[in-house]
Amino acid sequence: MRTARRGGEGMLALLALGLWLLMPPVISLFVGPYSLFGIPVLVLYVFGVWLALILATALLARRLPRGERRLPDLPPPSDPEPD
Amino acid sequence: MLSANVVLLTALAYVALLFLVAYVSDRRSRRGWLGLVRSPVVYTLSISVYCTSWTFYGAVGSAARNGLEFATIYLGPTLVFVGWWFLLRKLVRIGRIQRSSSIADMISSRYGKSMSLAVLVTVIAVIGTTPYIALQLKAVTTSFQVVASATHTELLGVAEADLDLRAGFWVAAGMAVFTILFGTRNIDANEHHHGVVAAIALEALVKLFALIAVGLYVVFAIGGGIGEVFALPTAPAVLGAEVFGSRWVALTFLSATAIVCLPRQFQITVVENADEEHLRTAGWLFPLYLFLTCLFTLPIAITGLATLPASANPDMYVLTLPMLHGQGALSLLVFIGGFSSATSMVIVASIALSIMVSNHIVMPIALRLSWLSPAVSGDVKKLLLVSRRVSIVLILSLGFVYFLFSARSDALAAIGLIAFAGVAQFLPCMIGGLYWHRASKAGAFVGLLTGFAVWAYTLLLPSFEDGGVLPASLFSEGPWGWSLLRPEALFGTAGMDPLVHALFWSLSLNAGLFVLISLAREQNTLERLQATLFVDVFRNPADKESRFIHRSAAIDDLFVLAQRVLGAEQAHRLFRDYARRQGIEEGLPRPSTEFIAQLEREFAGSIGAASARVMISQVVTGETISLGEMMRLVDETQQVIEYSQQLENKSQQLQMTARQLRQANERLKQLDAQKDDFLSQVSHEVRTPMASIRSFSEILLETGDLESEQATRFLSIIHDETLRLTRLLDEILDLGHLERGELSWSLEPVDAEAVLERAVATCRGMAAAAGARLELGARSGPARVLAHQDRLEQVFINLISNAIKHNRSPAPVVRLSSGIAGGLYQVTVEDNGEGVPAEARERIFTKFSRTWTQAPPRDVGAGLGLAISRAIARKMNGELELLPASPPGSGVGARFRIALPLAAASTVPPVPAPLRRAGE
Repeated sequence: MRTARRGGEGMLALLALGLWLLMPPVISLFVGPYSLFGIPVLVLYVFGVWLALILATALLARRLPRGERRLPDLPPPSDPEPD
Repeated sequence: MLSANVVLLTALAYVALLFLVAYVSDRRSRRGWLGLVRSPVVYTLSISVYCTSWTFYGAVGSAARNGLEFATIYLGPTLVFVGWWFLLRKLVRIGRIQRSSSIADMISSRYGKSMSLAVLVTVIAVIGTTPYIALQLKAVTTSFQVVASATHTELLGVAEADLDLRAGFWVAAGMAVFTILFGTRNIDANEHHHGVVAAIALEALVKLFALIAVGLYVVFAIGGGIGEVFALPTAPAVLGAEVFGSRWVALTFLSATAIVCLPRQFQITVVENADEEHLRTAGWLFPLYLFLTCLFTLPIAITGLATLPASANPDMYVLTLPMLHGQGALSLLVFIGGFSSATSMVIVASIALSIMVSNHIVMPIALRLSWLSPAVSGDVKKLLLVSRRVSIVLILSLGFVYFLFSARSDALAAIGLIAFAGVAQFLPCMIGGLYWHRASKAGAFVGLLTGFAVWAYTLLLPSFEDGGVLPASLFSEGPWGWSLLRPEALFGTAGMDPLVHALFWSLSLNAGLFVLISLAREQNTLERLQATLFVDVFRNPADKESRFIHRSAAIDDLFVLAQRVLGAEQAHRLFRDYARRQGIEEGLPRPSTEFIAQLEREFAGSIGAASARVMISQVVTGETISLGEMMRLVDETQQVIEYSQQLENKSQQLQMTARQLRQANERLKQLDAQKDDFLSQVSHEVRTPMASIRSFSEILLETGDLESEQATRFLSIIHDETLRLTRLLDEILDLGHLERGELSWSLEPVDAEAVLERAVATCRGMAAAAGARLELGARSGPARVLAHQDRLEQVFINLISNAIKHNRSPAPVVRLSSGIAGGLYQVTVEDNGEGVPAEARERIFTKFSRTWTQAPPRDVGAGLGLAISRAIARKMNGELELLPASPPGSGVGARFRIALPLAAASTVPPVPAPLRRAGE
């Protein structure tokens, strides 16, 4: 329960960070004629943040607890009603 | 150039491959070999049905026009999948427990299995999806004509008027056959279509492979490297576009919404989900897929703009770039990739829509009109299958007709975002339904209807503006000249981006009405039950439903019903399994409440929750929904939350109490030490005079012939010491009284100046004896304070006598001054002695603190004077303090100041002032 909560909080923080990084005004900071290794900084930034989000999600997903795998299809075998 | 026949043959071969893959996977899954099909990777790949031909061809076109804006369509879903733990996991869990067969089914099930809501959602979904299907048909048609074109001029863009519509028809027909074959083979209780999912996953691989191949070719073969591509003169124009405004935010939000609300996405992500754990992989793998899809979009757009003539259609760059460079095989691959993305969307969308139409439109009508002849085994199942097949054909025909009429206009180009905005209307009631207990059916219905109407008016209608069907005055002046109702400037909000404008008005009105009406209207019992089961899905076990709905039915009726809905074989298996579970080896199970609940869930999986409920109700007698039981469930959940909050509070309180106790304990220890100190000091003080009394009385007793003069001297010493003892004991008692707050005297207004005068007069004799001079400085004049006259005099005398006694100066001077400041009457007593040593300043007001003076003990009291004086001053609500030391050599020694509040003029009758406890 505790790890679920912490993992969930980590994921929420990651989500908030991703939103913050990809929305204006932060993203607008990278607009401009600058480039690195021949690639515009804006392009590097957007795709870099994107890839970082993917990696962080993959790492975080391992830490989140696994749900119970039982399919909740059928009621328990005991049948309290005699009729 | 490729001949049309080669292209056609390749496409046919590809379709044949799809059929084969679907067929094999379907067979394998029927035999229970789910292996590969049930893997998280296949699940993730099938979710990429999100990337249609609109992505495959359109992303580059969008990048060529608006730069990075194309990325929003993929960043939104990325963010949703990054946060899969919150929304998607809950959706999938609920979808599995409730056996939701579509997004309409889930929404209707949440709001009390409402039939009307399901119909509304279905209608919106069909209206929103049909143009999108038309868009796919158009993309396939255009790309086919481009790839099979004979000349360069044709290649640069097929004029809309020359569009060959036959290709569109054959694609639609082919997809209808495929979808009917693999999408409606049977009515699965879980609506899992393993064959379709496998084919979609294969298509996902093909389209990604094609995009990456063409990207690599464009960047490295045409451009000569990444840096070179971004150095092309068109790059700054593409990247320089000012896109990070409200449209950027709106598009990201819209695409995030679409990945959840689009009927085909819901079908793949929720309904076809085989295992909740697959989300763990999809959470990062699907964003990675999107990332790879977008990786080469910008380079292709930049290269296309730089090397192709301006008349070329940017939406076809992906295809025309390799063709212009004579790469026949690559162009064919690209065409197949685009074909894949179009067909996968068409297949899944038509399956999702056909389920919705048959479950929520055909079934209710059939139930109402009694089309179903009673007691024919499998009749419902048959009706469903037929209606699904018919609706697939109808939906695809509708898409084709739409394509036919709009193919020659630009209306289709913008349809992707328009469709997104349409299904975004599901968002408020869906999110509200998942997280808000009070969300009600009426609110959801009205919100949805309003949002849909506003969407149609502000976004869908203007897309027909150029078609000539609608009068232009509607858009420039508003309907009937009401400019406030202009579709693209609702309520005068002109100047906004049309999409942002429509999204803002439709969603805000939708969500606003939804919340308002939900707050105003009470839910009915079933709504409340479903709300609890949805919102608290992670807290409640699935089978709790049977706790609240008590039903009974004849088992024979149930069996007949199950045979009709599920077919004879499946019904038989279900009943047999359940009977065994109840311990019955032969025959039918007992129709317990739990069994009926399970049966209803099974039905819901094939015909939708609302219809399942209607069908079950036909044979059930005496249904009672136990409200009390339900409230208890809500209460239990609430209680658990409250308990845990209370526990947290309690533990915090306990920590605080423990801290306070520790502090109190420290203080007690200190007080104990002080008490010990005090006792030892008292005994010490008493011991000295006692010792001299004892020794002198022993002398008097033992030596009988003492001279009377000497005897008298001894006796007077004994007398003096006794007096000193008495005084000491009196002072201790006095201090004790003062500290315990036992006041034997009351406060009354007195003239403090007069009291000071008397004290000075009393001390003059002592001063003269010590050779000290008493100087009177500035005086305040009469000042009335609340005090006790004798006690105040005692304080003054104590201060003055201390100043005389402890003054080591050769010419001792004691200066007195008084004044009024800030409502306080203040008297300062200073001497010209050595002052109080710094290390003793803290201690002098404590008991027996004589250590700072070098005066012979006999001259000094017990060291209680200042302690008593301060206690008295505080009893009078005043204060006695030692003023900061003056620099040495200034001729000023210790300076004490007593300050007392002036009595208010009105307090003529003396009111006892609030008491302050000593030591505070």
